[in-house]
Amino acid sequence: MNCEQLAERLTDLLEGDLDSDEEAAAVEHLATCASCELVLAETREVIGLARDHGRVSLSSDDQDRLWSRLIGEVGSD
Amino acid sequence: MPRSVVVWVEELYRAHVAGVYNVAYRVLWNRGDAEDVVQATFVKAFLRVGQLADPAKVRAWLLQVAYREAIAILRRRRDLPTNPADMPSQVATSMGPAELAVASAVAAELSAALYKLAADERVAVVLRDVEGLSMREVAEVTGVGLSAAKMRVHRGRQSLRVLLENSEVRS
Repeated sequence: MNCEQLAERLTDLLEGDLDSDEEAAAVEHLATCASCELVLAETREVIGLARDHGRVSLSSDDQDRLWSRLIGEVGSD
Repeated sequence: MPRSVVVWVEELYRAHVAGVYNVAYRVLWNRGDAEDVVQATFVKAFLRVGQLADPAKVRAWLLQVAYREAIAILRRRRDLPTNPADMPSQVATSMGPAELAVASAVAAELSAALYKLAADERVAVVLRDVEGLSMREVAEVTGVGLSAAKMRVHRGRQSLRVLLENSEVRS
């Protein structure tokens, strides 16, 4: 596997969607290619940032207010 | 509305409203319109109450409704005001002052970078990496094939990586 092929398969590698031969080829390439290894590490870092900081939260007061609005629209017995 | 239905939908609402709001906000970048999407999404949940029995599918269903509602608002209102700086809090309130300051700075910088992504790539990243849907669910929610969904997530992640390259939020 070369750099271009690894870039094409990066998402599959991260998703665990490569078959065993492809994964072995990717690992082999990464062991000898610092730039691809850096891209992989940085991509993992971005995924972690998105997971940990990417949600615009809604306060519990806002959640309660929106729930009241919703119940006002649909009605409740 | 029968009480049992209200209780059931409130459970759904409490579990998923943050994700629904987040997806809507990342499409619309406007709090009021994102709240309208929350309203429309859970009104539909009330109407579909008998068809949402599978808990494994309900999250993706809600996010799909939210995404479609948000896109519909965008199409109706091309002049929609968007302001990524006008963001609600993105951090947990259990943090101390120092942690809050750091987390707020990271969230603000990430948000500014997300704002710069192509809309389809941003939504794909939000659904996969922020909301934790599977790649197949990302494809279903956004109405594209699996390979297209993977490509959007890939491009979005790589754009974020470049946008945040010189950022202090990266360790």
